Amino acid sequence: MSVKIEDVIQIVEVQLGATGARAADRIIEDLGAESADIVGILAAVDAKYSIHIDEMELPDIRTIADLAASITRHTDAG
Amino acid sequence: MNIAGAVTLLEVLESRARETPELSAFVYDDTAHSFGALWQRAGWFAACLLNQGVTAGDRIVLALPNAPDFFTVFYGSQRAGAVPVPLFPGAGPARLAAIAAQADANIIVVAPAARDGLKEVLADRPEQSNTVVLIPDIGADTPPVAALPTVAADDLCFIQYTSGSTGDPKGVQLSHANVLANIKQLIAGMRITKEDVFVTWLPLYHDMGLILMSMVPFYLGARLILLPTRLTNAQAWLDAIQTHHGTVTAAPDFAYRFLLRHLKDPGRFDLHSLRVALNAAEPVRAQTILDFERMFGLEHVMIAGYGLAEASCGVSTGVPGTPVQVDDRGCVAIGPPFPGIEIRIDCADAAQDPAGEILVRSAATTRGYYNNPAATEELLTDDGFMRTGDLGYLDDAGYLYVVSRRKDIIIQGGRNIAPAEIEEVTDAAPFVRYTAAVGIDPGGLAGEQVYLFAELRAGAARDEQGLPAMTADLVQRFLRHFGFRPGRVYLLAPHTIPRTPNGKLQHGRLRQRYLDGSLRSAGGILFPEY
Repeated sequence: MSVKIEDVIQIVEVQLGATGARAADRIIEDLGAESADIVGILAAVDAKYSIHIDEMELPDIRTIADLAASITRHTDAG
Repeated sequence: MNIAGAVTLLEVLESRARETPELSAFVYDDTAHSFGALWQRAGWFAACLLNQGVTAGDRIVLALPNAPDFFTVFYGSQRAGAVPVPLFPGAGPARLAAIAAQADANIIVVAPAARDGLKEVLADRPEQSNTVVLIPDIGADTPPVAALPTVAADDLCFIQYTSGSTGDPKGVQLSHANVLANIKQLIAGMRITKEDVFVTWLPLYHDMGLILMSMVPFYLGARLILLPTRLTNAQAWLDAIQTHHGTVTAAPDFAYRFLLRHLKDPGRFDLHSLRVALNAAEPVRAQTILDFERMFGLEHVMIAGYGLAEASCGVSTGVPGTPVQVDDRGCVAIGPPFPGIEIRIDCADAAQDPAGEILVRSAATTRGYYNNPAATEELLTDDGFMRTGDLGYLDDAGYLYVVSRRKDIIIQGGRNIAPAEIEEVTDAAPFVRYTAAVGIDPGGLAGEQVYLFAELRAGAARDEQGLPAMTADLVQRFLRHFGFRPGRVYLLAPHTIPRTPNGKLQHGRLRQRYLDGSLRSAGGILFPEY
């Protein structure tokens, strides 16, 4: 299943209270997320796509585009 | 005056400064700060405050991170006869100003980065004339004052705000007698001695970091390693335990869960010096205890604790060195109440269900909330017990089990947050009718989170395209005020938050309708769709 990047951007924006985020933005460095916020983003992603991204994958997810790629892998695997 | 005979915390520190001035009070950033220096710095700050016109009993708000100046301001305020009001330094300026107003504090001490924002907020509040003070700008050349005011056992030691709600502020007033009583209770209950080595990153503005992890070692003259508060820096925490042979540390359950999940190469840490790893300030999970001890090859080191600001800090912990017990509900046994603390369970029918509201009585319990007689009356019984609002029971051996925490407080990441304070902030958004904040544990690593439900005005509810921006706006309002973000925000259709006939929000029913799915299936949730 292809994941729409704008949907992932929107999840990150509403979790962080951000606007104007872009796919290449780094979630922590550019958008100001704390590690607890990442947990909230993952919970939202899991709920929307009915998948489970393990927090062990977090080191590989820096940008919104990385997150979208991870979602795609999980939805394809499912 | 010696420490055993001290009736105020200041007498304890003065004795330490006089008898062992060179002894390290705490180590911060690899530098030891002696009791003599701590006492002298506090005296300097007291002189600065007196020069500013501070008089006995005045409240001084301080919002400072874990660093030596916290103690300078905290004890300096006391030495000037004033009452420190420590607050979370990451909170937004509006919250600091609001609580300063509730506490009738004329002086607010902040870190340099917070000054401009705070001054802007205060400029919009002409009725408030607070002075914002920075360390060391204030009176760098202030000469010492020969005679500082005398402080008595019944004078307030500090005020701990558990809610900054304007309508229902909860500033817990703790006297020197209260705090000293709790220090002695903690020492006896947790078998703490002056040989212990404390390692802590817990924030000093909050009771567990302040009383257990700094006042107790000060009282005993035990070694204290103070770290900056960085919840996610498990490595620095464990490094400090290993390097300094730490014997006592403490954290909320989620911090241990984060550590267990994210720590790389745990095998390189030797934590066998630890005697006590206290797990408290939020519900304790048995699995966390098992996993922590297994990861580091420890036995009977992690103990569960229960306490609340209204009891100064601690009420009960497990007995160090003994196995943890879990009941058939899955609740971790806390332990017997500390010596000097009475617990009574207020249950309807003990034969049916021994669980009921936990009531606490001891010399450490508060006299009540600052400037809130209604809440104080609700808190204290006629026979001197304090209603905790938490549900629990005592087993046959007298061990306390906490079944559920009070419903009017949400604990996110170890922080207590009052729904009423959240709702005052988010109700101000022009597109909402009402908001309701509820604590929900979605089952993951993070534990209980603030879930904010915002019921929209009719016009806003029709603006489908605008819903994401409204959600982001509410998150921003929350973040600016509290300094962290809620777990989830939901936008609801008009008239969906359950209320009583006289208009009171029904948080419990809302929570239930969210969890059982009926809120969504009835079309109540407009955004997001997950």
